[in-house]
Amino acid sequence: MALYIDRFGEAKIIHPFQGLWHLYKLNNAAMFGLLILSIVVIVLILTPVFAPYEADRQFINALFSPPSWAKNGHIEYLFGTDELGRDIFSRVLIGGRTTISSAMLVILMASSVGVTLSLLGTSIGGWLDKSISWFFELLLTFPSLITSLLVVALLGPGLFNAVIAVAIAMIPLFYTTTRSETLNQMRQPYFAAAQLDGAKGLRLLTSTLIPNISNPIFIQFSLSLSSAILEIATLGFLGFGAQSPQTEWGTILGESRAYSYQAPWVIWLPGLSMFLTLFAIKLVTDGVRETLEYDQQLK
Amino acid sequence: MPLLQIEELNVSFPGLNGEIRAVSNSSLSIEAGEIRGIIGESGSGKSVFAQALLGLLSPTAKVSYDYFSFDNQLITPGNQHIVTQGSSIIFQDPDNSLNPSKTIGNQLHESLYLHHPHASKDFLKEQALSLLQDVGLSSPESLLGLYPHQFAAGVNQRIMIALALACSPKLLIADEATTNLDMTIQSQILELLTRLSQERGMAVLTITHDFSILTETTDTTSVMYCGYILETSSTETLLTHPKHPYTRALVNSIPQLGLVKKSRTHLYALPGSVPPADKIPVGCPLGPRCPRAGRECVKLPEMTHKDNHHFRCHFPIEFNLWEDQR
Amino acid sequence: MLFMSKQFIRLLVMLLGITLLDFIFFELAQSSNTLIPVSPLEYLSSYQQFLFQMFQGDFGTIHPSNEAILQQFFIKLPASLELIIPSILIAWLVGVPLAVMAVKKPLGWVDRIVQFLGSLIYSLPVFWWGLILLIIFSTGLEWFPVGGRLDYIYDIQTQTGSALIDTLLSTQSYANEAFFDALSRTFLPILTLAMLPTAYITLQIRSHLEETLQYDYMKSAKARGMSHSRIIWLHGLPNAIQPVLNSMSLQFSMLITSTIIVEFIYSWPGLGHWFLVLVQRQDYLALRGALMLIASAILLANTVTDILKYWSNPRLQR
Repeated sequence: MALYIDRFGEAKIIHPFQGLWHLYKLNNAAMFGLLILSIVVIVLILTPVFAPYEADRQFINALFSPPSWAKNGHIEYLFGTDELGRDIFSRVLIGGRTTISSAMLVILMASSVGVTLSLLGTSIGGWLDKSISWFFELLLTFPSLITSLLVVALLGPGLFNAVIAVAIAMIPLFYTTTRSETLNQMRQPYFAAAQLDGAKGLRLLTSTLIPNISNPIFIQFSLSLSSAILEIATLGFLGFGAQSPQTEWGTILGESRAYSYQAPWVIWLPGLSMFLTLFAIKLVTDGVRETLEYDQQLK
Repeated sequence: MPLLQIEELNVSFPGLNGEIRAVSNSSLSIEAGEIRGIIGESGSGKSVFAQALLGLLSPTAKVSYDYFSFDNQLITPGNQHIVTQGSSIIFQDPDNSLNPSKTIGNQLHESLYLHHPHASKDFLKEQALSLLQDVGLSSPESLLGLYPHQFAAGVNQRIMIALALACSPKLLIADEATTNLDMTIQSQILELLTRLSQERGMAVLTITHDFSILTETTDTTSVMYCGYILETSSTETLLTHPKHPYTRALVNSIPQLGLVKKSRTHLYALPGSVPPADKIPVGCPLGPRCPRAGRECVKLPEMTHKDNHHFRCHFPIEFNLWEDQR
Repeated sequence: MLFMSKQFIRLLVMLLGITLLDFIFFELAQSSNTLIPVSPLEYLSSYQQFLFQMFQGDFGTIHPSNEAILQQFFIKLPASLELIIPSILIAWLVGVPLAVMAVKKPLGWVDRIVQFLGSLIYSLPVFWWGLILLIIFSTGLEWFPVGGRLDYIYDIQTQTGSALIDTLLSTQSYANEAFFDALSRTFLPILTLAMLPTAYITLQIRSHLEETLQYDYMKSAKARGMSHSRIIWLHGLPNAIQPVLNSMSLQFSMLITSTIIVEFIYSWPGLGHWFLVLVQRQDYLALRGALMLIASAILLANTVTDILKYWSNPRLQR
């Protein structure tokens, strides 16, 4: 529980999250990001409500229709249509769902494997730990795109394979962050104090170690979310990720590349939505990080 | 004509919940060659005060004063650089005070070069060596090529002083310069500062929270609390006849060894704690905590001047500290 | 000297590790095609054979054309470098002055613009940005050609792999024309590639510079009469660059990822494009060799940055 003094000088006891939220609210950029992010999240969750058509429904008599605000645009195709007459607005919404949910799946997979391996390694110690950490360090020298491309080379293209590929590429990141934080905390005096108090094994792990490393891990989570989205979209764009008729932001851009001269809106509208989402995520994660730092400073 | 005189200095920063007044209504005057002290707790605004004098605060700070003169010149925000160039400052933490990526020879050379732009390299090197010797470092030749992290704290502090002297300042401000040092080194540095002041006719402003430093070196001291200079007098008078309750509380809180009156066996502390920077009380800042406070204390007391003893208090202490306890 | 040799040994060990990983990768790829059970000893001897082959310079061949991987690597490398080197230069030459301008007046309008644009550009997906540039400048305004390295009408012999150098070396009558054509085609890819590193460096240096300027020695330097600019450039920057150098390997990773994408968009015949084609064709033998070479290049670059980091920081030298 934290003590909070409000505008009138009265002291109140509030939940720590409320205090952090007050701090967060002061950060204009972060609030703006949160606003955009909330809109994105709502639209994506309620896609069935918002999307007028299915992603692959073709309107043969409305090929290359420009966005509704342009000269020849029609209001029923909000963002216009592509070379096959598919409504871009629906494709953006449905594709966004695919991309973001795949990215979340990636993070879930990568973090569970990475964090678990790291915790196991540091608890067991010895040469096993050293060799695993050396292995992941080696993997980390490669850009994640190369690693994911290699996995895709083994497995073949497709959305699910792309998810596995990006997850494998992100495991080293989670592993090293967890490991360095763990080692850091293990050196702290309070850790030794807890051990002297008799904590060991699982209890040591859960009540002493994990609460203190959860902060940096959470930050790594949120940072990796935008990387995961980008990676999935990149693989889709390069043709290795989601394949037609599956809709995914990167795939949309990749497929429509050839028609970018006749129908530039096919490129810049989906890309803009992706960019806005990524930007909003960045603002929010930066805001959260600054809030936590500021909170630490105040103590 | 004093070397430096400033009246009613006010410094405030924009803060989270409004303005933070770091320094309020503070006045100071320093004579040439004099060693002055400012004492106050951490957070009382001493460093901000010193940096405001030298124009070193960040551009977000709002600085205002009624009158400011330095070296017989009137200082305005436009010609602040006169003060900056004629003074130097040394800080508490030698690790942060010297540029870690340059050798000290390099740093000395640079400062000397800025002061003597047309001098030859040899002349500058000579000056650097003599400065290092002045601050008591033997075999300075061998030190020039080394980096700050290769020295002990005491040596670094001396190097800092040498650097500060490179521009021949008329005023040297020592902001908690000895706080982090061991006792013996502390007294060596204080001795050094006193000697340099006498040799060069340089004024020294020592800022500290430790009275023992001031008794050794200074003649006159000012007491700061919550950004206000509350009392200024000769150091001896402050210790024996303080007029301001805060000064008295400060003095009383010094544990005394040796000959002491029986009744002074308790350490005396003011009730409450120092208010945070954005919630300084209206009027006299000590008001809520002061045992002598009365209704008038919600209004800031005027500065009373009584033969070289200046204080701001509605209810000053009129008796001799040693004779009476209350 | 001791440090250099330690770094070198570390490099060799890592290379060895990569060969192992690479070998495993290839075996995995093979085993999905054939199901012949192989004993561990056979694996070991295959591994040995693999290592020997590499020592002799045989990194395998590409499937249909039978061109040597090693040869292809060194032809494609200069083309990628044509993009990478200018991007790094732009990132530093533009980023540092921008950061300094921003820091001179914290929260001033220059600072706010720089920070806002910086975060904006940093979250820009590279492939989207590249396509937009193409749309605007190539197909739209027609300032630059759309893609490919050189116009088809110029027949320039490939000597180094870098079209800029090759056109200069060529003896054809239209060599100069070809050079300018090649040059014009470098603009958009370099612009696309350089965006991310520039934004990153500007933001990083600005933030570290702001931190460094708070240190006490900046204040004492100012009190000694140093001008603000002198303090920023000669004292602040050397200290602010340190942490940025530390993250060089991360920047390099980002750069390589972007290079692959940029080469894809602009049909640039560099290493990234080559790698993508091999992955698409699932040519595992070629991938095995190509991976070794690309990995060695990356590791070498990392080692060089580590050495640079060490040299520029006097504190690490003791």
